[in-house]
Amino acid sequence: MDGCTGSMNRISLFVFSLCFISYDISADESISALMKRMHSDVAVKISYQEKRTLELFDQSWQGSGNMYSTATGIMLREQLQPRRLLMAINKNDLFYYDPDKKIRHQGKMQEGDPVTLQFAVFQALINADEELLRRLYNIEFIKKTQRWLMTLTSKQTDSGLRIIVSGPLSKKVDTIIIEQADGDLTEFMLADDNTVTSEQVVNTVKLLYGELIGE
Amino acid sequence: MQSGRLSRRYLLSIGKSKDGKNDTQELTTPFIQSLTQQLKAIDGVVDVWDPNQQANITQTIQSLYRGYANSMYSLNAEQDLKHFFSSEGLNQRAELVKTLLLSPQGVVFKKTILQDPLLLTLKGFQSLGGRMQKVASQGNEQYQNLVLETRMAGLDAGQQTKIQSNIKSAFKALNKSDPEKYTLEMTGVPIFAVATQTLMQGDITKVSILSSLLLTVIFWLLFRSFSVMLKVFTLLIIVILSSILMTQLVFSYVHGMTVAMGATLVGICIDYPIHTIVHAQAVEFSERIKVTATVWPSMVLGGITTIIGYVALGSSGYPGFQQVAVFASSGIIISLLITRFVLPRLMTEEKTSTLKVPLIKGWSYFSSHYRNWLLGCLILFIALSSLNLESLRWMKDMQELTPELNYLKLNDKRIRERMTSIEPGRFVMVTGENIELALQKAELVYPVLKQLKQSGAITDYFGLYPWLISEQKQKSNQALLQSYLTQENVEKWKQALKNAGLSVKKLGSLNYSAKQTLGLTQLLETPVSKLIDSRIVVGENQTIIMIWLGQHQPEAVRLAMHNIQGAQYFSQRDMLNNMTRDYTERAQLLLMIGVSIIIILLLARYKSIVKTVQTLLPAVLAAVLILIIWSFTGEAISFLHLVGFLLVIAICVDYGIFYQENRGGDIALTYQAMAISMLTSAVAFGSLIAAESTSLRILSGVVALGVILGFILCPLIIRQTSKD
Repeated sequence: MDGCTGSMNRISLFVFSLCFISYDISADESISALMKRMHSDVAVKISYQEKRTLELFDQSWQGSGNMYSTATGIMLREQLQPRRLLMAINKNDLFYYDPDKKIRHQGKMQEGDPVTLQFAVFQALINADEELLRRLYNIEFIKKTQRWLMTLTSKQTDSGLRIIVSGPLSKKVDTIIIEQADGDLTEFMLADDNTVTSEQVVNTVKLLYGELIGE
Repeated sequence: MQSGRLSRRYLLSIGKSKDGKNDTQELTTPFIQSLTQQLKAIDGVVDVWDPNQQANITQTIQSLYRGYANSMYSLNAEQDLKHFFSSEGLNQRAELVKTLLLSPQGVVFKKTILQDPLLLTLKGFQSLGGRMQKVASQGNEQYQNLVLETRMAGLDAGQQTKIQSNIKSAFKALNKSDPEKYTLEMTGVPIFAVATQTLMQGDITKVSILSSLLLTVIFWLLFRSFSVMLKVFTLLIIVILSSILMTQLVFSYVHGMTVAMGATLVGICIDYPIHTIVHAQAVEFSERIKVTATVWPSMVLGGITTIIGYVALGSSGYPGFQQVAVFASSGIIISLLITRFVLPRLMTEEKTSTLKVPLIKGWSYFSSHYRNWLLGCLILFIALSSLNLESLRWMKDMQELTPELNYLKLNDKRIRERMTSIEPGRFVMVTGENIELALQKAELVYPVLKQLKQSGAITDYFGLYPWLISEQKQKSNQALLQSYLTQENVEKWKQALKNAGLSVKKLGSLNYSAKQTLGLTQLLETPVSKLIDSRIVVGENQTIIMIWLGQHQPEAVRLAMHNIQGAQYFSQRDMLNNMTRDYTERAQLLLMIGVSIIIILLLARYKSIVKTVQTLLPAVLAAVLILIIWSFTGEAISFLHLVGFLLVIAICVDYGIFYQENRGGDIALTYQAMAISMLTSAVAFGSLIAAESTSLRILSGVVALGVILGFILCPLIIRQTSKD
């Protein structure tokens, strides 16, 4: 069961990629255009669905929650299902808080660290930080008939990590797939939440960030 | 410990400039990375790293320890395994596995979990995780700290001076674009070594130049003869060089303190030629050798009493003073011999002259005419002032002897506080005949420290556990774990995996049959080495494990260690204070022994108690008067003050002897010669006041004042009626 799930997901990812075969365009131009679309001077809220297919789990794991980004560079993720968890990146610091178990962790983002590589992609995309993206990853950008697709691999380590970021043409990112060398997959489906104002997002981030760092 | 890796390390603290321009700017990673590269390129630098860089250490925990999961997991395996293999315990482990796999670091933990499904590897590191988090959260964005290790010994001041200069140059070169942007502070044993050597070299230069100049001026003003000065100073150079050679012969090296103190020796050794010249110049050329032979016995006795003082100084145990004793004793002996057998033959001038030191004749006349009055006043003054002697205070903290290094101590404290919560200079020391025995003893200490931590007596402790435990404990852990891996427990574990939604196929089998154990050598080859090599010192016949402590109650720790064999609480400050007490007690004893020997010598010489007391009294009263002065000024008395006392007595007894014996037959001339001796000694010791080293300044104050008082008191105490 465990192994099958992994294989199936690899196949689905492959099929998913094949669906959009069309033509390649200049990478630089497209990345810049994407970053322009991602750029926001105001705080944003994105709701997400997460699906993890892990070798050591007997079935896939699903979660959901919200991601927040502020103009000051804080990126905060609030997992609501199956249980509440808070994670954030503020500049080079990573924060983690498990409210049920009252466990807090803090670490530094270190370039080349596989954990950092998984987080940095969110930070780079949500903050529209093209320089960070280019510094950490080899980028392969292709444009299909309906979607654009960007494949990222680590520049500094031979970890086998592959991140596939995609979205509808002329739109922001809506899917991020993180594929580990051993086949473990994590898929994020993202959707802008336009029901809240920037000010409300900022206030929410303040509250959540305070809870996260324990202040 | 002094020659270990720890002593070869610098702690560098790079901070943001406080000029206000860059308040919002963080210390940039590229700057630190460039600096690290530049520092690594310095000749003699072994490595440079960030002490808070935990990535390598975390990776080592993941990669190295999972191979030893069955041996390193606990100090109290029976209790831990009992809990692990309960239904509740196994469910908790399975939940932990799930949580970690889903955590941001799931990728990293997966490798460990595949090899160690029960996550025994993490058991020992649980508390460590908390500490690492604490360090990370304490990280001060104002500063970035680096550790720099050198190949050369920390106390090799010459090499370390070059390295420090290169460190500063590398920093300056990178900080060039905006000099105010960052600041660099450094501490570590090499910093103290270089500062001490610089201080000592500065002192030697200053003291030598000052005393040489003053002695030359005095000599010129009194003798007005270039020829005499040349002869005497040539003799002195021979004496000093001979003393240096003798010291080199005995110790194989010459300490800076010895050379600094050697400057004072000039002031003492010059006394003998002066006495000879003063007496010889007053007579015809043909009489000079005879006159020298006449006064020589007084000089010999004076020389012996002075040597007694210096030998006592050497016996005080204070570093460097043994050399000073050999240096001074050989110098005095050589000076006496040259004065007796060489100098008279060099004094070929036909003319005679009588020495006239200003004020001396006047004081001599005044003291002999008003002797009784003056003595009465002196006795009354001493009697009344003695009442205040109770307010004398003893120096209890040895650090008071090195206030000139206080800025370095404060700097050291400030930098270390940015790096760690460890209290420097205080730790639990565990000793064993070898690594294994030391580790076994340390394993008895950890539970006690854990209890102290729970009771709040210490905030934390940092030993070798969980990084390393004894082979004996590792094997016992392996055996005990095997006894728990029954079919029944394995089935319970599979059920726990199912409950958590984890793969039974991948994680269900519990294979913990490995037999290997982890050793220190292997561990020191990993990045963990940088973390633990300051916690163990391996010698040929002894291994020391240092368990560093956070904030703690010294008495509680000391008491707790009392009953553990091979373990003791060590406090550098307490050790220094104990040394101060020991040195003081020893100095008191040496003072008594020294004075007793001098009394015996005088008794043997004079065969008269009255004469002996008279000869000794000016020296003793000089010491008493200094004590009275201190009782009013509030000076803290250290063993160095007592050693200074002994030198005062040893030197002033010479004056007593010269005055008492008056072998030249002319007491006025003898007192004139004594005056020059006193002046040269006072100037030589007084020059030490220019030193920055407090030890030298203490000796300067005591001895310079002492010899002046001793000289002044001679005509008052010793009655000279007529030539015997």
